[in-house]
Amino acid sequence: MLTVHPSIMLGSYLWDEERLPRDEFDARTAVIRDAIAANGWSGMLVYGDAREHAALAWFTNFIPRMRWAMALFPASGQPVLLASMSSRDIPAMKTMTWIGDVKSGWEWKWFEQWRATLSDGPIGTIGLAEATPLLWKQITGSLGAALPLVAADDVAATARTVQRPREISVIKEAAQIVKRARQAFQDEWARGSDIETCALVAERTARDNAAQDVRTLVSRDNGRTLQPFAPGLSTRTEKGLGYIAVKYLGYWADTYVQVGTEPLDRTVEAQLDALLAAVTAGRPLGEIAGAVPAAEIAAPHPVLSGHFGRRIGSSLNEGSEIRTGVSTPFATDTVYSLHAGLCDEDGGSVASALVLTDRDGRLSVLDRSAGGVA
Amino acid sequence: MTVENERLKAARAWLAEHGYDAMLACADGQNSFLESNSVYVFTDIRSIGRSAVIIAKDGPSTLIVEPAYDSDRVGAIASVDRVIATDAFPQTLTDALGAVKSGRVATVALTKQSKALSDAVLACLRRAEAFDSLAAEMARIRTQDELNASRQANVIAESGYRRLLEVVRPGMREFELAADIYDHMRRLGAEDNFLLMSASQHNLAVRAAGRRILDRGDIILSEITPCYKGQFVQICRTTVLGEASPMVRDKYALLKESMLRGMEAAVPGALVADVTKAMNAPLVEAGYGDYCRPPYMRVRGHGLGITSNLPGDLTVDSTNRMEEGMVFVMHPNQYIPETGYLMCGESIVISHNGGISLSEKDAELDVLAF
Repeated sequence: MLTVHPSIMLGSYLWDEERLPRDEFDARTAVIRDAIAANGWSGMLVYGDAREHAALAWFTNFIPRMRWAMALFPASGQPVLLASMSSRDIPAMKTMTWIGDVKSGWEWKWFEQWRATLSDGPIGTIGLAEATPLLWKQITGSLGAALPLVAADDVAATARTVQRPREISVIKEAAQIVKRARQAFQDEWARGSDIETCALVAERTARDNAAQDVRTLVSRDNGRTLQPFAPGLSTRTEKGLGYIAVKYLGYWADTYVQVGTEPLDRTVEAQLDALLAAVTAGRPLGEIAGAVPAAEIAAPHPVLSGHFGRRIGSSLNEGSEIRTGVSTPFATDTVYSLHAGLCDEDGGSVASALVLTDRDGRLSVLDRSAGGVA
Repeated sequence: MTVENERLKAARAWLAEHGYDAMLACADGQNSFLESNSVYVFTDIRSIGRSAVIIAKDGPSTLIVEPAYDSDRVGAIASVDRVIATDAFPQTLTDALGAVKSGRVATVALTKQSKALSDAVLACLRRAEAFDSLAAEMARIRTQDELNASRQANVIAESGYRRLLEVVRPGMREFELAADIYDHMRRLGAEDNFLLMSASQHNLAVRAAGRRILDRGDIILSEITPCYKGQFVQICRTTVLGEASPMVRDKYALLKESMLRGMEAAVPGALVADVTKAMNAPLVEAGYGDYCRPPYMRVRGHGLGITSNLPGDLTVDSTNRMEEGMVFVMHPNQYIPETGYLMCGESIVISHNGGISLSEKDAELDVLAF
């Protein structure tokens, strides 16, 4: 789900060593070391920016609050992290990662210094397609022909296909926060507030629970569309629909929230029931999508972009969208955000759930959106 | 009939004057408060995701935004001929370039998009030239509506700070205080907020709120930066929990003197570098000349997105000049070895005889007895 990106990541982004200890990251970065060794590379560069940083965060715990950052791994020895921030801000940046050597990316000498430690050979890159052409030019100019760049995004993608136990634990906590935020949204609606106030109360609830980031969208047309916050609006329609996403310790959980009642609600809930019943570890995602009964009374809700869910974790969309024709199997030990939604000329309704299947095939519903409140 | 905004009309005039067939302006959706959002400048749209506007010199203006679900909202606001909302942004953008592909195209901020997107666009344009600062140049003087929005944003910022003074207590965590004042400003209409707020007994800089539990003796730094109707403003404040030492009071007076000198120097036509030097002067005179550089400070102020970031960073190297109607933040925020980092700053509009603070009450060292 694409939502409005804030000008800066608010909230507590400090590295929580008790929840995500150093040895957790040793295990994660082993895949980088292995890839370097297996391919004869000289090093690995992992890029992320304020919008897209899932892989960078997975390896380093570092999330760029603004601009970009790069983790530079040599074939042997410790990595360096360059953050596109002033040297004034580096002490604060150091609190966000286990990497001890954090430098300002505005001083390119640090990249040159890393390059000087490398022997000639290819450099694997993760996420670098998101970098600007100007940064690319700077990087390739420093590396020269002796150290060509090789896309290695598959290394991160493969490693992150299954979530690690500590990741799942954190996502479960994020799911609890999103549940509290949804309840606050519905309670505020029941008090007679407009939908914008409901979203603000939900946001505040999540932030009071140490959320790092909160995204909300609301409907001002009985659930037909979702829109971001805008000043000066005070909308109270018969039926309300909202979306809440919460990031906690680097991991997302999300939910739709319905308030008021809408004729489509019952059909949507039935679709979600069918989706949950169809979820089986290893089953092709297209088959799961096909198990959802078509609704002749209304069209699929446009906010869902034609699918019934996707993996969720370090980003709101970790891929593996559940849609017709996809043969990728439903993975175990990975949290999925499922949703079903319909829309017609009078309004719309969306229901959602966060689910996980373990290696024994057991399905856990971490959270499910409750029906509308009057 | 579409009512194009004044800057889109100016873009058409620029194309005619400079012999280009079309303009392609892009925005990556990051909403940096330090940069111009060229799509917002020409269309009044702050997109949820990536966006681009194609302005044909003699043809229609087309806005492409992601995601597809944002179609209704954008369609109701955008001052363009055609809106396309899509979940397949790169493909939709290259398709939409259509007839302008073979013409001479001026690009704005394309170099600030991802290389993947930039390469895809450039591959289908026969003659493209980059003018990355064009939107910021065209929007460098705030319109009356924009200035009104800036003033309202500043009202929100000051209210946010008053809220901080009301609710802060020893025992609160930084993130709880930040959540409170962020929520307060949202309710007043702040659509975004670059809010930094942190505490220490000896700050090295301001940072985003963390888990620190506030206590007596802490010095809270806050950089409060709400955005209202597309206009960011910023105020910088320093708050002492408990008692402020004479040393802190003395050094804070230095920052206030720096601020005053900067406002006096910021007359239309003045070099930004000279304004910066005027702000540094009190600190240099007090023996802190070696601290007037990173990591002890960053810049003495900067432009505010998302329309135009001009006059740019207030540094001794800047070659920009002040112009009447520019809005930016001036902040002599400074690390001083005896006290740690202190903050003092206001959003400023340049008038014919110098800088005028948008604040009703400029920064003071606030001391809260606990």
